[in-house]
Amino acid sequence: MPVDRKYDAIVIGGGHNGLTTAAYLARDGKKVLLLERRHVLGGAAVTEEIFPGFKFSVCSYVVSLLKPNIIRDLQLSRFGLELVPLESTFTPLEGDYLIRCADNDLTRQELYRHSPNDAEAYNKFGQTMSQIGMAVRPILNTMAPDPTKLGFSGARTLMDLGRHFRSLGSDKFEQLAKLMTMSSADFLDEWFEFEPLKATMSASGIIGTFMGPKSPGSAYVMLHHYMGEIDGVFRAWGFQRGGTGAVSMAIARSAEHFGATIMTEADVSKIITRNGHATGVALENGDEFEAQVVVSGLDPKRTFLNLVDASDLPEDFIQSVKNFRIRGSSGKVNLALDGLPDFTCLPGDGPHLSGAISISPDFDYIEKAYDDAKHGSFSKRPYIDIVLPSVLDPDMSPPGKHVMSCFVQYAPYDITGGWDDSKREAFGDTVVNALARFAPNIKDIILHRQVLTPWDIENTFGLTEGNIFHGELALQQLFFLRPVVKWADYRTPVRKLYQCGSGTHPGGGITGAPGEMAAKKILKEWR
Amino acid sequence: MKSFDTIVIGGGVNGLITAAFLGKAGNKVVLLEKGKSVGGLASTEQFAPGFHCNSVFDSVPWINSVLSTDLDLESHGFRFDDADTALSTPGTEGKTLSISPDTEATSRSIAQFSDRDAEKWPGFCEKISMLTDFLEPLYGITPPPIPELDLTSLLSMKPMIKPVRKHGRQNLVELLRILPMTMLELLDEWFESEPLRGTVAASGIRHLNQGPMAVGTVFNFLHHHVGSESICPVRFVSGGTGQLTDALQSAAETAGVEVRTKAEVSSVMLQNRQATGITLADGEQLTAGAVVSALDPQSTFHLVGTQNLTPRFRRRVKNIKFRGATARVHFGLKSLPQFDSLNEKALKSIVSISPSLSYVESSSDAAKYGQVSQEPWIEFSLPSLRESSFAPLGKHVLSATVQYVPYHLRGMDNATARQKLRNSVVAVLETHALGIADLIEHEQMLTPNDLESKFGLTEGNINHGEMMLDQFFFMRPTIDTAQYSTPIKNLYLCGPGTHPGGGLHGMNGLNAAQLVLKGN
Repeated sequence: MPVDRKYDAIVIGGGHNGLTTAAYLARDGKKVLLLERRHVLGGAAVTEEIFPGFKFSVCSYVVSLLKPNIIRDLQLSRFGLELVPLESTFTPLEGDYLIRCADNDLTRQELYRHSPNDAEAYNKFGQTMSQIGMAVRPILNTMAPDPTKLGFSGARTLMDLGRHFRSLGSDKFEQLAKLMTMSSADFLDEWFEFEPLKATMSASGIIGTFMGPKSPGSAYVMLHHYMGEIDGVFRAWGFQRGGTGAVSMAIARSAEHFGATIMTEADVSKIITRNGHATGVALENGDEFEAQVVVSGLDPKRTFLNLVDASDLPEDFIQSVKNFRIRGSSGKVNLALDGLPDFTCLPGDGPHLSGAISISPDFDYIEKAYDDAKHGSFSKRPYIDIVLPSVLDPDMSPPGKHVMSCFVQYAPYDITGGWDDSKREAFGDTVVNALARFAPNIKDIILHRQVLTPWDIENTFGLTEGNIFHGELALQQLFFLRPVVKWADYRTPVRKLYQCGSGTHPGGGITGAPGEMAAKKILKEWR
Repeated sequence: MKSFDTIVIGGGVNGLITAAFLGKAGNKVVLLEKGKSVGGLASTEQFAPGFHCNSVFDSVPWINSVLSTDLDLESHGFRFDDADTALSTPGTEGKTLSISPDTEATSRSIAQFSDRDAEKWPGFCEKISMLTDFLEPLYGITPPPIPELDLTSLLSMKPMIKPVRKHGRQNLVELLRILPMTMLELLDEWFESEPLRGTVAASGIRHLNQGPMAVGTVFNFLHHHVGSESICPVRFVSGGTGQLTDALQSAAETAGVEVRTKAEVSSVMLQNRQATGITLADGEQLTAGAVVSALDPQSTFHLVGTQNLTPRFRRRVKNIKFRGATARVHFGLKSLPQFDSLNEKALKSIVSISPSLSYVESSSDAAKYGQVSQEPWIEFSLPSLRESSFAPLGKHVLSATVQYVPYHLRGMDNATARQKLRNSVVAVLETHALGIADLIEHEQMLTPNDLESKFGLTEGNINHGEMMLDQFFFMRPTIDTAQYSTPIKNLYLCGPGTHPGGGLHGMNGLNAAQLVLKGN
């Protein structure tokens, strides 16, 4: 198919945010070209059949944060979006277990077995977190102002936020201030006493970050994960039927429906500029495309240190991009199984296998896993977040067989001596051994195994240092500081070049928010 | 029953300052100190026959200048001794890093390890001094009640205009960016040589339960640089740190304050949720219009009685994080030990054992699991080299601040922790001064548990509550007591548990005194 050379807008990167921007621009009538380096779309939200008959959400594996208005605007349900709620979280222990499920009564009954105090505190905690989540959500939908030169609209934004926080009252404001600054362990200690509960809940404060549950700052990451909603249901995680790649595919189909052109195996090597304006892109194979506007869905380091000529950027901006923290800390192990894992503490099949399974018996377990990583090796006893999508979605695997996705921390990008094949295998073995401690049959039912180290994640998905959030969710990298102060509103120092990836406000997760807000900014500034 | 305008509980720096300022304003004030002399954490004491030490603080980097001018501390015998101060760190191959107020000399010292870092040093000094320029006026402000801000409390933020004018709004944003960073992140932006990174990082973890890879350590680092001209500042009080509180006592008494020692308060008297006075341990009761406590918040509200607090407030007080992790060690030595790479000039000032950032971080690991660090971060000095009166002729005192020794021990009692502390300190010192173990004649080990019983510090925390971002400004010590007042009418707080936190700077006492005067 002959392809045009001239477009209104070119979007670099076919991850879910790039696709979202492309779809919104196309929906507004712009002629859009999206370029994806790989042969498949989705970026980190991708489904691939790695072993014959076994489909995996290779990288990102659950959906919680996708904004409902995006689902509506882009008519995603019509294009194949179908989320199945993740019903439970199961934490196997030595000789016992903890299970929390969608049925609040059952959960509290189960908690009561471990700690009456925690059973009592559980609902109040959930309410508080959701109230604070709702209070923070408007910020996620606010264009970050430039605080160094507050114009009228910037000042108004800040005043609105001030009024908004005043309305919280002292109790909730106190909790919010604590969530912004504390460790998830300290924060949860103020509410609960049963260690496996606290440890499992704290895990959402470490996912994707280079912190332990006792590291201050991790409570914010926990809150970030609480802000998700599926179909208006608060704090509900879900699977996408067909894997997370199907989310991306739904957005891609929507974009195409609105008229966008999508090209795969189109590796952008350079953003072309003239007089400080972006005018197009050049591909690795020498092809060039022109556009009025170029948007990058890549992380800030890839965009500004690889694709843009340094002479087009101010020196202090380049330094700020270099200073942007993006340490990778996680790995992924995808297993093709001949059956279901059998947990010693809760043998046999059951509803506990259809939700998330968390290897997080206590704080020390996770904290020690972090200690290993910060001293330069992968965790000897890692934290693992497991899902078995094939239990709810039989199309993911051949009949009677299963796919198991293990998200693992910690696997540091900067491992001493660097990653190599033998370390990758050793890491895979460590994960399997950690599983076998609670489900001893696992070793006998593994048919295939795919291990992704942070280096693999970087090479395959183009995530710098393998960081799943395109940059850490640390206080100094949020809101008007993400990714660089003065440039937190999706614009860049190169005119007509915008960014729309997770490295921008409000950050990572399958939210679509950066993509949506970038598109809105671009359209607002369109001439 | 004796009656006063104000009763101040606790004779440390802040208690004395509050009392002195209230006395100067014409109030009839009594200050009650449990110990046999005032001083608190600023005490200088004899720990073995003929051997003296500064109990907790060897160096006092910053005292608010208002104190010396308004209270004329010099005339009461207080003087800084700033000769030859530096923070030294033994590096590899016999090289010593020396950080002093002389920027050029420091750069030369850094150049032994890295030319690049030496070049960057003056810029770093400027940057930190710019950032602390913002904090200094903030420290003189009573935190506004948040979130119920009104115009008056916003106006109280007026002193912040000056630094914003001086450095620009861009730099205020830079402060916001840097404040929540970890020391690792800050240092990654600046330096590569490990002894320098380790030593600067160590001044971010002082008195914390966290290592330099924790969020909030940059805030703690900046806190220790407010009001100081240089990086890793060292300042000595002539005659020992205790001279500061002796001078404050004399200033307070000159202002008409009655200072009572060996006067332990057993409870605060209440009437209709108002403080009306105190009861002493011997049964004597004193009444007053206002009671100001320099004790930490938990100890203070213990005197009030938890049954007199609302459940919400009780929860807030209970949730204050203390977790002391700093120990103090004092050795009386037979003679001056021979250090491999440290000369007498370095020993006369302060020495930090911080060869690398990861060394300091590793030393924090054990504390997370209730264990005593085997290779701790140690900062020591030999005060007897400056003050010959500290030790008998020819003998010496070595005082060390040691991290990490947790308050909450696991699988051991305090006596075992003390033994482990001694072993690891001696082992680390031996690697720099072979044979030092044989010189020890006397010793005093103060674990956080010991600091708690000796100084009445909850969980042995020297700052009366962790200096972390979640306990800063309007959150210190709790969201409803950040204005030095408490839910108990006429009961005020003036200790380091309040804004702006720990140290011997005296800002807490000064701010609280102003508030009490307004309240009266």
